[in-house]
Amino acid sequence: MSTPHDLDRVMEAFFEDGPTVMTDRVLEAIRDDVDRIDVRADVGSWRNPLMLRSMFAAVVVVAVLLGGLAIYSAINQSPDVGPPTDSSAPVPSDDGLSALPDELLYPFLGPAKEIAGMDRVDRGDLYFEDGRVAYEVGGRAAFASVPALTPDGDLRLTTELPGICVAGDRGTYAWSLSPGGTILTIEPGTDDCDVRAQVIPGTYQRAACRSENNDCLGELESGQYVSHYFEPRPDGEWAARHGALAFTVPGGWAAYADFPDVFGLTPASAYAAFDGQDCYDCPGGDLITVLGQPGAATEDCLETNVLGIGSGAQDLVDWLTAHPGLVTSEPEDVTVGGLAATSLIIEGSEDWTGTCEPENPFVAVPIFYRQDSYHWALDVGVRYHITLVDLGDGDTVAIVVDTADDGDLDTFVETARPIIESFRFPSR
Amino acid sequence: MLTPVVDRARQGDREAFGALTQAAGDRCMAIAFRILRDVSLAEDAVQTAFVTAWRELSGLRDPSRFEPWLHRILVRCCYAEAKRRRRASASFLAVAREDTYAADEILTVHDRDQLERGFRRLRPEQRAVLVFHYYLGYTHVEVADHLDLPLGTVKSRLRYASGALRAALEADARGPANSKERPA
Repeated sequence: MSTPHDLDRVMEAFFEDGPTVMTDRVLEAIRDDVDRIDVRADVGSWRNPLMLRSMFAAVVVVAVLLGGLAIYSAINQSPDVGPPTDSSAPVPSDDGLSALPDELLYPFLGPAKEIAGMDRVDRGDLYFEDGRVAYEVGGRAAFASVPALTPDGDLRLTTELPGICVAGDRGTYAWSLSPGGTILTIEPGTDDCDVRAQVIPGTYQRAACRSENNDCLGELESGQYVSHYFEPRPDGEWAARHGALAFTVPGGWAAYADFPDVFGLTPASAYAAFDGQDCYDCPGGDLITVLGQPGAATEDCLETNVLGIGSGAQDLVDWLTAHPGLVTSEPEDVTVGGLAATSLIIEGSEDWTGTCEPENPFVAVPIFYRQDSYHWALDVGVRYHITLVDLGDGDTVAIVVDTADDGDLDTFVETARPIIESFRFPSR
Repeated sequence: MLTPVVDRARQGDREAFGALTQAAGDRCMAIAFRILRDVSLAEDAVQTAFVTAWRELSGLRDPSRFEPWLHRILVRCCYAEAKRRRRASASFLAVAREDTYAADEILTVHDRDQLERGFRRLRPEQRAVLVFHYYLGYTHVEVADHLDLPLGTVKSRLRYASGALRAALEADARGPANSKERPA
């Protein structure tokens, strides 16, 4: 095994492998694209915001077109797809069909449904992109179709690539969206492809995530939702588990993160200000963050766990209340989703002098660390409201409530309380 | 120097842009593959980057800054491709094909497997700083310039990413690596 001090040499060796030449095929594809695209000569257009917007739109068009190719490659399951080319979406031949409304042009996430021949069925997602729709289960695409609306407003799916269905198979389904567009319901319909007819109908949640790297739900309507990727009860290799966390929100909330180890909610007003960056690292805001499998972080802030501290909720409560860098409230026994839990407020002690980030040190109290995942620390004088929930079998989640302005914490905790009390963590 | 060619391409000269593509394409392909760890995704990212560059080239104020400008576009395209990959396959399953690795004394096949898994767990933003620092040999300041990031952000991403990779290598001593991945 290589030792850590070898990392520079190891990384250089690691990066030595791999292609260093752009193939003629790619060069030709670029040339073809460039030949089709007229651009203005340099007239200082960078100063013109309207021009910038049009440039941005052009980039989006290219990105969307290539997104369609990504779906093709997933369908073909081939590591070596054909040359990336600029292609237009196929147009259904039926007269009277129309394009989908903008409200459908999102990923819609649903539960797993068994499909013969699909070996990794952990979710069922509909992706409407570039004039196509792909139904994905466990990362594999099925039923790649051209979607359109019939004159009656029903959803028409015409199989584009043969597979489980035959190319050209048609299915027609009534559908509806909730008033705010967050819930898509597809009714049972008629379909030349029996398997698709069994799988497509159902209820899906819209993923309108502002983060580039996540399919979180984004802005929500009032109602009940579930997580799609978060797994509070990890068991071997991670796989998505639709519904591993269920929750109910009033209007005006958003889900800002849905990762295997972190799930987050925030008021929609705050979410609107997020810049699209990965909110794993959101610098502030009024947040309810659910951390799966938190571990006690060492005081040196070196992304390691304290040896000898258990992973159970009570273990972590005992450790937090004895932490020299924290001032804590009296722990309070509560119930979350029918499970025993403990709530307390922790505050970074003014006496604490430990620092994080050696290159740009700042005083902070490390709290939770999970390997290859998150590392949470608390600034001096800042408070978190923490609820540690015992899921059984050694599994624990930490529900952390924090605010951009510490003076708002008590009020925000009361706002967040009914949402936290609605949390459910169904077993596998 | 490429500057006169960039100038011609800015005027809409396709031949000049073709020359730029040939001159810069290999390095772009190398960067994209090392961020994305997938040839077809890297090719898509490179193609999109050059098409975007062609569309936006008239907005490049200083032709001598073509390379860092192109790299910023390329890295954005890599991020977009990575997101599509996550959508298509939520878990990045490391595929360690031992027969494709050249034997060397620095890195064992098992190390490569561990590194590959650790690297794929990183976010594309973190991978990019590693590639620019370790593969291209850029200093922190140069990485910041090419990726248009604050120096502190480059340092913190490098520190996190390096720590994660060290952990991946050290995991060898503790047993099987944590296989949980971040999804889309």
